[in-house]
Amino acid sequence: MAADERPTGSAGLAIGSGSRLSRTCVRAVLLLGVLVSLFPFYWLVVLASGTTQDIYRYPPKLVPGPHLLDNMGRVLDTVDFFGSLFNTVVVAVLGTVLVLFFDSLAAFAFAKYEFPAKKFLFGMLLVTYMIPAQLSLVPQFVTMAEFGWAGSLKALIIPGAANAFGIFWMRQYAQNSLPDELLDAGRIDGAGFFRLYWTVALPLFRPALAFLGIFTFIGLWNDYIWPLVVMIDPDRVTLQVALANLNILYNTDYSLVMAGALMSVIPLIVVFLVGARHFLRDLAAGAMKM
Amino acid sequence: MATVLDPAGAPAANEKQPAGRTRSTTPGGRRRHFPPLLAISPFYVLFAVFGAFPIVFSVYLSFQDWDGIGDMRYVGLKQYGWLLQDSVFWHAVLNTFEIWFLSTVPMLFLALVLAFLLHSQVRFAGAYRVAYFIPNVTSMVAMTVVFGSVFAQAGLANSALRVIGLDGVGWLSSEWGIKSSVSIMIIWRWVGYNALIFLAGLQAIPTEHFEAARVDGANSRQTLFRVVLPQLRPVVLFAAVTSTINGLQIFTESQVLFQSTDVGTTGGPGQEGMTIVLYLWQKAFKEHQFGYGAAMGWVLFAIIAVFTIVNWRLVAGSDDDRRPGIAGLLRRRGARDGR
Amino acid sequence: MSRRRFLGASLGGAGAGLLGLTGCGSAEGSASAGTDHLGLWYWKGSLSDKLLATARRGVPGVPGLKVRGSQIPDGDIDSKVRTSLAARAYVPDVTVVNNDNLATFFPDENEFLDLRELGAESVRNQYLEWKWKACFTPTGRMIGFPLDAGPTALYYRRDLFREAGLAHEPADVAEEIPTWEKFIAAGRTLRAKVSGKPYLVSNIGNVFQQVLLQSPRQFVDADNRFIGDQGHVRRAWDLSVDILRQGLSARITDGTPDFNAAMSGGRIATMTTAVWAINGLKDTAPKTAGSWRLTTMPDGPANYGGSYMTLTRYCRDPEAGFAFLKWLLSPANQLASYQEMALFPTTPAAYTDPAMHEPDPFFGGQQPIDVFGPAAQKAPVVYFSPYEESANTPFFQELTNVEMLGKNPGRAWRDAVHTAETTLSRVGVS
Repeated sequence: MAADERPTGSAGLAIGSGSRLSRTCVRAVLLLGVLVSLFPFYWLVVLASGTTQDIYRYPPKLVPGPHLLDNMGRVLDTVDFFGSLFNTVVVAVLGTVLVLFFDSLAAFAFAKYEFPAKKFLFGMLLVTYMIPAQLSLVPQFVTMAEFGWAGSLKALIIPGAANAFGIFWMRQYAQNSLPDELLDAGRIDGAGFFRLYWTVALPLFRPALAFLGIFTFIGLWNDYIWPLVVMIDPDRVTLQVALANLNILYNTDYSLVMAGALMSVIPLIVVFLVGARHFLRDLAAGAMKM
Repeated sequence: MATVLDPAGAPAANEKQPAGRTRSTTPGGRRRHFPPLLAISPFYVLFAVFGAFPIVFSVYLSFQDWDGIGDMRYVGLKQYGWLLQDSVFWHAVLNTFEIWFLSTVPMLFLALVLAFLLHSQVRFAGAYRVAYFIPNVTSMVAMTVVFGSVFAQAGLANSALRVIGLDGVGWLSSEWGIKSSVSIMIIWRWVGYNALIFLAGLQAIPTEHFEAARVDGANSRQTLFRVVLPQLRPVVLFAAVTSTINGLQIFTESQVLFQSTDVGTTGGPGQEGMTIVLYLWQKAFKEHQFGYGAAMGWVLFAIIAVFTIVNWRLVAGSDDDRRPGIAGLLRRRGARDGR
Repeated sequence: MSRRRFLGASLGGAGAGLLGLTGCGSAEGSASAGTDHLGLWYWKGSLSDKLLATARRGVPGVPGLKVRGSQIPDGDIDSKVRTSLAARAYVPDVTVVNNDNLATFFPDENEFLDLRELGAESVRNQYLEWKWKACFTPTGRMIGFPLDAGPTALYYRRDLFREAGLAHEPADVAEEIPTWEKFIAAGRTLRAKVSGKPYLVSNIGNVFQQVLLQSPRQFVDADNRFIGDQGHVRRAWDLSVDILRQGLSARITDGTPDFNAAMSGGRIATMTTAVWAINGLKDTAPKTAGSWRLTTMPDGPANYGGSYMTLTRYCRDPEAGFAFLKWLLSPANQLASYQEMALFPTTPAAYTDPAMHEPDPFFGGQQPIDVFGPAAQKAPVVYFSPYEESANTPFFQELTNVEMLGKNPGRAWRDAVHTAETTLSRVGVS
């Protein structure tokens, strides 16, 4: 299904399938789009590698300056960057592992087993997916407070440890890619539900897990409003909250803030670029399934 | 992983009750239902505790006046009454819709154009996708900080305007400047994402449809309107629904853009960047009016529900085959996959 | 409270049963539970960095006491304290509270320790009388401890005043610009005569704030009545709007990159603010060093900001916490804080110390104390109600609407009064 497999214009769409000229136009527009897409990152590097005074300069200075390492060093001196990075990594990794486990387990059950009230339960799942999280921001905070979880990383990890979207999506995948014969063969060998899940289903789920994993990881990494509300210990915050605090605390020192912003986006971009190929293929497929 | 697995596995093994053999043809009877039910239970348990309970509790909270510290005071429906009279709230509602409209319409249009272009482009397809998707991956907080400097009075956007001989714009200090700035950030973030989704939709159209259209002598315009767009309807619906749900919950852009220590600057000058969720957050977690925040959550929910339904009606149209609802879409997709 | 406990019990129980994960939050709610130090919340610039570094290693004279500070963005600190109090977790042992916000905690006064019970009376005579009095709640509990004061002055660019042909030495400026009306007139001259056409102020909100603080009455009086629609507020409003009408405001929000650029670029000729703004100004516009001067505020000085410190009821070691306050806010250390951070002492003994009288090259060798010292003594004592912020926020917002978006000032005023009244009616202020 990937674009790479298609010969040019075979889809029969007029756009770009005609003359060489129009193909050049297509390419030009696409490149312009890439420029717009990537420019803010370039600009972030420019700002993070200059001085605060450079920001106000006219005409603007459009190339990176020599102060990048210096500014990044100042970020490390100013805020507990590695502490926040560590918190964020813990939340994103643990949260992702839990989501992958619980979602794939539930998806396996929904896809391949019959049980009472299955239709109703699945319907309920769909309905919960449509409820906006912000509806209950206040009571969720109060609930966390009552649990004694406010300020703890648990508050960021546990509530979302199984989610409707993932179950939903994995179930589709399981239905199409997990042959019943394979499961029957396992049953004949005497494997029970969890054994079949672990030894037969999970390995086959791998591509879907990769997608859901990156998707979840990115979401957890970038989450802002919930950590902002619930991480009440100022010494234990996630990168996003730390960056927002840096932005307000050091608003006179823009190069410092920009260096912090750059440092906060680099790890995730690296993760994304590593997994991008599979992720993007599955993202598109995933959307089609919704 | 193993430690996570254990608690789930253990009760299954401990199940002492002999299997009640009912009409079932498989050995195990009722008992065989236990493992799958256990497997799906984490979601429902978590949802009950962290989803359903807070929702029910928020009904209760919205009848109280409470700062989170002292005693609750029962006020009945007064919070809702105050909310309906709160001009800032209605301003926030209006802003949210304006920003939603300003961002969603151009975003979906640009995404559609990009998807068509990408569809006809073979070389570097993978690289294009990565480049278009990266904005969606990066932290909104960081990028809002960057855009904040771009839209400053002496920032890059106005410098660019100066270069071509135009006057600067009050990006962060005028009503439409603020809304445009926030919208531009949203567009930048979501165009690539939606383009890739549309692209997947395009690629899922069976080639035979085009062949048939060609045989019938349809020109490219007719092909577009008769073949491509109808086939794209489910993906467009998906994109429209998610854009609505996301769009009505805008928070980070406005919150970080106008972060300041000054009195009453939340939402920017004139509160033109104040959104519903930002106002909810401000009332609940800056001013600690928990009851008010809970009431606002319900109004937000009602608005989103109405809009999602309207969206469905609009995009799904009256086509019988396309039953509204995600489940309907899923059924269709399942059928398609089966081919 | 009982309802809440019930909720906590049922929910916590359910959670514990279902997940087996609960119960390991902070046991006593204190931010420093399980550590060897007390936790302190402050915002950047509110306390001496050097003294905090010392306290982190060990508070001198109090064996075994360490205090660790956490920086909170200053606009957030009160709401963060409230949030932690609501969660009864990670509550700081010690916290800084901004001047006009201490009163907002009066309804929740039991969340804070009464410092008299820890022996505060023994140091009473070291502190300014009015500041000490302001630490008490209406029921007579002392929940705050004097940190700094915020005497105000007119900061102005001597070079620009001179270029405009205005009086430009501090004493002369004070004489030539005794009122806000004269201040506005000077603004017109600056704009007309100086080549860079500087603005008088960055935005009119600052002027509004200062004129207000010159009045002992604010928006809500001691009888819980809304008085924000009366003459003293109206005068502040009209003066501010007048500055805008005459094109003398740069219409820039403070603390934004644009503000920093305008200050560095000499496009703003004055600042009407308190002593603690000195360090921010030095950070924002280091290149303008030597050009600034200080003089008496038009219509006289006021007290703007200046803070308190409190001990929360979650403080793990109240005696040690109070010993820390006594040490940090002693006359000697207030003096050190002034020299380092421009935190104006609330201990009059410091005022006569030679160290307070050092010339500051940023102000061309002027001694800031010459302006701020008298200002601290002449500032009117202002009554702040717990509902002050709810009441004044609509006015600041509407003023911003007038300035940034061109809203009609008359309509903005009516809207502000209406919003304030609606908001206040909900909390029982009429």
